Amino acid sequence: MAEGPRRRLQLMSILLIGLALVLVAQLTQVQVVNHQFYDDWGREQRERIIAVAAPPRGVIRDRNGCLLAGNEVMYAIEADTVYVVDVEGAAAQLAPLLHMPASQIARRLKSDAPWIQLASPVPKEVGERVAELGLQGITVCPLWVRRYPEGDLASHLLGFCNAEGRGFYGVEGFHDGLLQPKKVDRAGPVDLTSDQVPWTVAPVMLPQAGDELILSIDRTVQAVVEEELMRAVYQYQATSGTIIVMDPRTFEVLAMASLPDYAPGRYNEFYTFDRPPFDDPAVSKQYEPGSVFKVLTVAAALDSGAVTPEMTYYDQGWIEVGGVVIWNAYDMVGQHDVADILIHSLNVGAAWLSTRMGRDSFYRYVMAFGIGRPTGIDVAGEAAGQLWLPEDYEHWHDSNLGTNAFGQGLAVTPIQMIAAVATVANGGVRLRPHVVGQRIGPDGAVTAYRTVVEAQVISPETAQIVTDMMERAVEDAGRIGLEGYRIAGKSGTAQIPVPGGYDRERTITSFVGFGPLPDPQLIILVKLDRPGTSSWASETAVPAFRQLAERLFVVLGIPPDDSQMAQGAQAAVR
Amino acid sequence: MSTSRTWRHFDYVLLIVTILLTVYGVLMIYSANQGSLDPNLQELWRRQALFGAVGLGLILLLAAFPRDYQWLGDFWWLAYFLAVVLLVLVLIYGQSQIGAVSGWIDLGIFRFQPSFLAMNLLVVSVGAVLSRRRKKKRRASAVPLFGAPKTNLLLEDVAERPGWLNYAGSILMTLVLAGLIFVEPDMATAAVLGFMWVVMLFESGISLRYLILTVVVGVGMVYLLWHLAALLEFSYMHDRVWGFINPGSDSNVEYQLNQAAIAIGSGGLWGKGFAQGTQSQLRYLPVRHTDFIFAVLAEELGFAGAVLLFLLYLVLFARLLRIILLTPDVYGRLLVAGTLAMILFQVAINVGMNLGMLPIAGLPLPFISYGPAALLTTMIGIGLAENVVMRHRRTEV
Repeated sequence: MAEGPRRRLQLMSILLIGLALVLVAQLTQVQVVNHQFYDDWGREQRERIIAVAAPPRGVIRDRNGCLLAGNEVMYAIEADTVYVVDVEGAAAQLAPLLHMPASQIARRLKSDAPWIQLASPVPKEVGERVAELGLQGITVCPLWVRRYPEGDLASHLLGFCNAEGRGFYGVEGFHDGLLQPKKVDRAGPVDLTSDQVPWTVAPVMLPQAGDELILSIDRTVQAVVEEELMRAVYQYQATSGTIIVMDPRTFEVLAMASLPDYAPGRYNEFYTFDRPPFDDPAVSKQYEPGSVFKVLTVAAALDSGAVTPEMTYYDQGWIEVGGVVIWNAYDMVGQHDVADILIHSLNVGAAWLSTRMGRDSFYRYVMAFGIGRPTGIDVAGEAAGQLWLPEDYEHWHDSNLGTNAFGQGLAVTPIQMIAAVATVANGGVRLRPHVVGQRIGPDGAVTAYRTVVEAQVISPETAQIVTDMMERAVEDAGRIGLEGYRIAGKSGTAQIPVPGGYDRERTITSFVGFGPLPDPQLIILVKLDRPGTSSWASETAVPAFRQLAERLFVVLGIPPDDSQMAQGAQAAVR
Repeated sequence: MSTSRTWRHFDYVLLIVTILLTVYGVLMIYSANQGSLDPNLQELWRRQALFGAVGLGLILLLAAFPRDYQWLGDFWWLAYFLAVVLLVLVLIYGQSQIGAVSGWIDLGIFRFQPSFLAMNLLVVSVGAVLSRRRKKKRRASAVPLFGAPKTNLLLEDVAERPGWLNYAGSILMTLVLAGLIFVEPDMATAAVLGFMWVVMLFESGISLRYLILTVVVGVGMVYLLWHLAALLEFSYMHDRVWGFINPGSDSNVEYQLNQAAIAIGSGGLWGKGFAQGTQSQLRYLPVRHTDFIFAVLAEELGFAGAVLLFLLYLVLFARLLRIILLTPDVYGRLLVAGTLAMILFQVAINVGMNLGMLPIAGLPLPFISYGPAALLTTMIGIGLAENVVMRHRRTEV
């Protein structure tokens, strides 16, 4: 080959290698030197926060599986205004479905906002019909709406759930964490059209529905309780009232109702009230319990050994404690034993017991009964009550030892009071009251409520003695008279503290009773605030209790004592 | 006339590199369209593999062709005529595939781009014209006195430089073909033909005066055409070039270049793994299986994969240069040089575009980009080179 072409070939080779070097240099620049820059750019472009479609909130059922709080699919009608081509046409088609004037829809569609919500929530059928229209720029977005099929039944107990899916008050508020669906928001890749990328979604946790809660509440009992409460509030012209029904053997709440109440499904209508009735009075409203508290004083005095059941004292009608004179409610001068203190509701006798015990012992028992601290019931907004101890020297006075003994100068919540008395009914063992019986996870796993034992407050023997005294108090009062059922109970008529003393006319009347003896299955607290027909518990709370208990024994199929004994006899024969 | 003697010179390395590049391409097309929403696109790699097999058959056929390539040179006028006819037909009956570009003829079974075949035909015809010599009197003196075998090539011709007739003829032929392609409009392919002609002209051993003249005139032409294109309806290429010079003026051009840069840059040293490229599989990268397949490769197989591709190309070019070095006759050398120029130019433009160094031009990456016509054209070029190298001994003294 000639020399000329060979040289030209060399030149071509050099050019070729030069070109290769230029390309590799640029490749190195882009791919190695600036790798991080482009990698970040790409990630920024393709990664978004992806909200995985929300599963529903956990439902709430009663102990028999009846739905108390559920979810319904509804739709939000939204519009990407930029993409709405035919504004007038869309407005005309939407107007009859959304029950809005076409002109109003058109005006909103023309707004400058790129995204607007036309209506939310709308029923399922409406949402589906709007979707069928297929209007450009109009989107139909499914959402869960909380529904309470029983209306205002157990409203305080349930609480409600707002439009954002947050629970407030009651069980909805207390167990919001369990009921909330487990959403999964995460950074993940999207493709060119912002669709999720399936092959990257697989390994992550999928969203799950919230836990289902099975309450200890019995829907039927609750309905009966609410009906009787309503009747009592009207009949005795009370301003408000609370009834709690519990099983003293387990401390599970069977029914809990207060008036005035509200409808959880329409909670927003109640926001306009001066005081929205959302807090559950049964756990949050504090009051002076009055004579019902004597049950605790008597139990404490007997259990501590400060007195024996046979011991008597001379009641002169008054007693002076810490410089304050305490009077009986009515004249009962004479020699009385401990049982008489409950039977005749003697303030002087109660003060005699507490002063005999001494303040350290007395308050130790009061606190052991759970007074002054939240019970820990799983309903939102529980109050602690108010109990001044001798250490609180700014508030506590020597006279408190006397007045506290018969339920004055301290405040309790209804749930505290019923839990304290239920301790007596339960052989002296105080458990934690609760309303959730079990929870069912999204995977179907059932977790039963674990009974929490708070304290052995008094001995079973003391509990039996006090129960007998309470039964005598009911029998001697002679007003319960439930055919065939033995009931133990104590009423209380408490004055209402006002600035500078106590309200002279109005009272809070209450009764706590349990039965049937000897194996109590129910404990009921009835509390009526400021009854108008009479200021005495014996004429308001007590008959209300009697009527309720009579119905509940039937509803729950609790047989009278006679037949119970007959059954017992039969069992013995076998 | 393929005998065992000629097969001894068959370039197996060239064949193996060709097969490796083709397989590399099929793999990348498979990967590039995995994320595609169109199931037809997902299956394209099969077609490419099929045409790769056909192409390999063509290489062997051309290598085993019973006639010498010189015989082909005798029919240069026919080849050229065919090219012109095809390109005129495509202008009349052409079907648009991308925007306003009409470069396809529908043959029923597959659509066919005559502009690619025109490259092969240009090599055959222009190469022949450039290698033709005026027969000189010196010829007689070169003929051995006693019974030496007579060849149809005269030794003196090798030393003889081509004259102005060769120059004028070849430039005219090239301009006609390139012009027909240019008005499709497909400026990039027309540029390939121009580059091929320049390289063949250079390789033909023509006087440097002609080369300098060519460069001066060429630059003037480009300048003229640029302004002409801006005036006339060839707006798309004007936009492409203009968009490259002024990034941001055309959001689409800018987008495509950005996506290519992101894909390549984020690939890093070792890549994201085969069929694992986020930018490719999530469809951010446009026209992945053709124009931007290099970006797919660089993203998924990284710097290492891209350098491997460059090395394969370098081996290919080295083998083609070796054939040029071995081949004593001008026509044989020009056939190989033209093919080399064809492949080299497309690689340079495509990779340069992917790397953001050059404007977006619809040129494929030889062997790698999807495209039966492009693949077959390249394979035919390789086949011609094999034919040349197998017979280079025959023309030796």
